Amino acid sequence: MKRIVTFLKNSVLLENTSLLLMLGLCPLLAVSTAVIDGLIMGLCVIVALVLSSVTISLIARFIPKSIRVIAYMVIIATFVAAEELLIRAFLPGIAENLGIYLPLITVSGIVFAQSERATEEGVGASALNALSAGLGFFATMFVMSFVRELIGNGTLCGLRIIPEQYCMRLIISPPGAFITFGLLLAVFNMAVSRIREKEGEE
Amino acid sequence: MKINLAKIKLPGFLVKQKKELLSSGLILLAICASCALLLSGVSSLLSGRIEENATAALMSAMERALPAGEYVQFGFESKEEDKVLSVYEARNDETLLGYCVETTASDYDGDMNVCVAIDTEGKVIAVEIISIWGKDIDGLKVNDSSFLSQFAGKSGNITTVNGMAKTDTQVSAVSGATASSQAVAECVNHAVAAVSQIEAEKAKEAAGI
Repeated sequence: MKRIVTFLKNSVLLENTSLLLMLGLCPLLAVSTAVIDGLIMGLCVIVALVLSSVTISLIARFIPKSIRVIAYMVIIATFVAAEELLIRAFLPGIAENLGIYLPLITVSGIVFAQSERATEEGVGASALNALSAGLGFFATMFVMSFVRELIGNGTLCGLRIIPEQYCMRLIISPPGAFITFGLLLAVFNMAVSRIREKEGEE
Repeated sequence: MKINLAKIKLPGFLVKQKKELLSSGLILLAICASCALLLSGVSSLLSGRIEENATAALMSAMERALPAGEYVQFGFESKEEDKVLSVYEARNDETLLGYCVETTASDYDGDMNVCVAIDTEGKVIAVEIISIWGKDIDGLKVNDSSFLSQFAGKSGNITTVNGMAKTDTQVSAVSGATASSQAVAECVNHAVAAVSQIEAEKAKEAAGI
């Protein structure tokens, strides 16, 4: 149990790929206008990360260095395309909402960085690291979507919470995404530095 | 003219890399082939369901735009093939109520699919937005009845204007969504053109031409 908690703490806080390494920001800023859309996008990124990392770590030793990048792109694109077909089949409304950002997971920095890492790791380690990276993105996406949908639209998962006249429409717009992300980054850095201080004291 | 590959003299550095190039090429081919196989399998499993979803969305839009007993797909070749996706005759028993035309146009971010209900005289009955790529249409001002109801009763080439509409062929665009408003008007115009083409062809057939 303690190992799971440590794993989650590291994934979401101390080694969060989106808030520390600034990876995967394009879908994060574009899709975080609704909680459900954000959650589905987060899940898609986790699945793409894990599947591509495991596949790459299995076949990395057979891929020459000269074609490594192309091979990784093909593998990642295949899994993302399969995911897109699944979403279009079972969640067509959300597939329309996600638009171009679902196929764009293929060229997202977060997936590509993890695939490079998977080259040098075993299957188990690469799967865990991919899951960790994905969880960090998922948590960031959830918080961003929650804040933007609640304050910007006054709803949560489509249910109205705040009357429309009291909503701050700026937050749901593209500039609002940057503002929200900046504020989240400030809060995150504050929280992480306090955790590190406490761990240092211990 | 026959070419003997064995007699072609390659530059020195290419001779050394020939084997490596060949093996890299074959490995890449194997990876691409495997990925293509996987994707084609997934696609064949899911394509039926994806098509059902598209048809269900269109049927739902048609029922809202022009309620009828049945909708019969009308096969014809539109002059704007890539803009008019499908045409359905809306019938109650044998009576033709009008046509439901599924059209598409480019919005600011992506494509917009619209269902336009038109009567047999070529006048718009109702407009329903089916989907806009990359946007949730619920809550969009361009999907509001206050904008879409402006098209009812209109025919001919409809244009959008900022502010009040002054003529019968104008509609007021949604403030802050000019491109989307223009895309809806474009879809309506494609649908009206398609129906007038259909009615002209029917008239020709009836006249025995």
